Amino acid sequence: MNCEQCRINFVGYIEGLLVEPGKGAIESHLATCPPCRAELQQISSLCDRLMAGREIAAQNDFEEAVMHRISHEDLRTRRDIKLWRIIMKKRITKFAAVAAITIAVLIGVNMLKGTPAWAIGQTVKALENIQTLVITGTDSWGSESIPFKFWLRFPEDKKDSLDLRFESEKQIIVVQGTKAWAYWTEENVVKVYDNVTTSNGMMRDIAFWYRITEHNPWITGKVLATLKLFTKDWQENYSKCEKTDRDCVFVTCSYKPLSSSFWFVCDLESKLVVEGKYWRNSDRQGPPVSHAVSFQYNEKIDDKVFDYKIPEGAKVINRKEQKEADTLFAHGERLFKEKETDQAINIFQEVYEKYPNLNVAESALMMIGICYERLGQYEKAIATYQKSVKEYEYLKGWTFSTYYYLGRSYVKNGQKDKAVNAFQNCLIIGESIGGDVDKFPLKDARQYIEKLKSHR
Amino acid sequence: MQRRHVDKDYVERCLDGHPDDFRYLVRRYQAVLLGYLAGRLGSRDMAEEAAQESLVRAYVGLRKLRKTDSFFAWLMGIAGRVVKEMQRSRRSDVPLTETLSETAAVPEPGCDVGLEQAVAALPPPYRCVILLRYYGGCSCGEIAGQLDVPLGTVTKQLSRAYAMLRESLKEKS
Repeated sequence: MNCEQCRINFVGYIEGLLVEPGKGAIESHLATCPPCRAELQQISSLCDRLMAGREIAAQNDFEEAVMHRISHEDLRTRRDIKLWRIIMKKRITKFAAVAAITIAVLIGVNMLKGTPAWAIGQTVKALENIQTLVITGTDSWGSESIPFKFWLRFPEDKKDSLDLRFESEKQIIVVQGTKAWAYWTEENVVKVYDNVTTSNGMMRDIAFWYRITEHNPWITGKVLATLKLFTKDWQENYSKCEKTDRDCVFVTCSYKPLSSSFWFVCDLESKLVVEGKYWRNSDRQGPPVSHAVSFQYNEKIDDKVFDYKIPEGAKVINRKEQKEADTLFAHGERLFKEKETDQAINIFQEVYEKYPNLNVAESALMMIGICYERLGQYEKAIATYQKSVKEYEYLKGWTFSTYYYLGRSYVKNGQKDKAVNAFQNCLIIGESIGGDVDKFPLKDARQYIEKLKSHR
Repeated sequence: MQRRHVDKDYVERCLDGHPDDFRYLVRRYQAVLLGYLAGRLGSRDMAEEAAQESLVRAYVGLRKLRKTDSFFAWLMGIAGRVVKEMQRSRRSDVPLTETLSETAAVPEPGCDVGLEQAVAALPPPYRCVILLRYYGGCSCGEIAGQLDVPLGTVTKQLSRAYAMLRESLKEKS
């Protein structure tokens, strides 16, 4: 056997695939050929290195993480897969399916004769052609019902731009082409978004506002069109609308996984939405979170509507600062996740000290408290949470979570009465801003209170 | 040939409404995917994220898989697309990348970055046999069955892959 013949068989030799006399011939050659021995040695080292790489590749919780994500994927996927398989498995079922669809179409066509035809897709299409829209209505903030007005204008020559104004006594949002402002009246804080650049026809920095318009069911209708595919209780009733005295379709639907339900009315001629309600529960219980009472399409809006002047004395936050703070906070979260708790505390402390006027500073303080809790330093955790709720009392949307963690630290520190008070504060603030009582932290706070009271 | 049929069986079980059986395919290919994606993305965290995304997409798109016995090749195709998307989004997210560049440059402990990158850069047929052999834990016979090729082809491809890997690692060092 020469060197070439020997080397061709190295893989087979390493893998133990060779039988006699081939195996013996290689071994005889190797015994007398140092270069081939060195070559084999190098390949074996590479194989060992590859084998070592394999040992560190697998993650412990990987499989569960994937299965968890799959279990949360849309149930419809599974249902469709199963149905599709049943149909496609046999030729007879394929023919049956085709026949069923044909009959259904024929019946449908006949049934539609004399009844007004409408499909949500037509509303989506009609909404695509609007230039301006003004909506008035009410939003729920806890038990309060607050009127709002919303103006929207798509400039004719700039398809990737929009002007928008949302105004209520709690908040004013203005988007003017490449500039945007968001003002919180009670906090007297205004966020300024400037130097907005366009990228591939989409303004990246104010993509958030685009998402708002995109996901607002009454503006594009796309949410409703998507919902029609998933919801089980989509219902259409055709009748005259008392308000407009025109033929309309009244639609109700809900989506349980997101605890959402809708009621809306579309005009059958224009296909446009004329009224809409949205609930943050799946059975349209209680007052809606948002009630869009009137819609005006394609009416001229004065340019002044989209002007914005920062109120005197308002705290101004610019986007760059916000982004830096968010990035630093995310770094702290990563360290926390990696169990580098001491380092995480330092980063969250830096966020708090550098950006005390941003909402993220409150979250940073809360995270410092959680870190101390993890380290078993409950008194430090309590002091941090107390500081957070005191300094950021005006941030009602956030402090109820901090109250929950404060209560939890009191429990761990053996101060049950104070824990009950903290959990009650969590419930009061959370419920007043319309937080979901069946979700974290309100649900957990309620359970803690019941448990603590029963042990007294 | 047995391994290939087992893949097909699990795919068909999932299609027949037993989603939990997808677990066996996850178990079988998680290491292969992670090995490949770590080399392409240069980070184990991102590789894990990409591997999860690839498997979830594979599950959701299972109905589109025409040859149920080609699950592995199809999955690798999905993983390749996920890598491209992640690389694109990394490029477009400049500030975040800049912020993270310091940490991203530090190799993760126990990670043979050079080797993973060299494997990821192999031409697909060679990469495939290396991934199945070392990350998938398949014997040469099982790889032959999996890819429906003769055993001799697998050993030749492995031999060629080793030569290319050695060359690539020598250049890097």
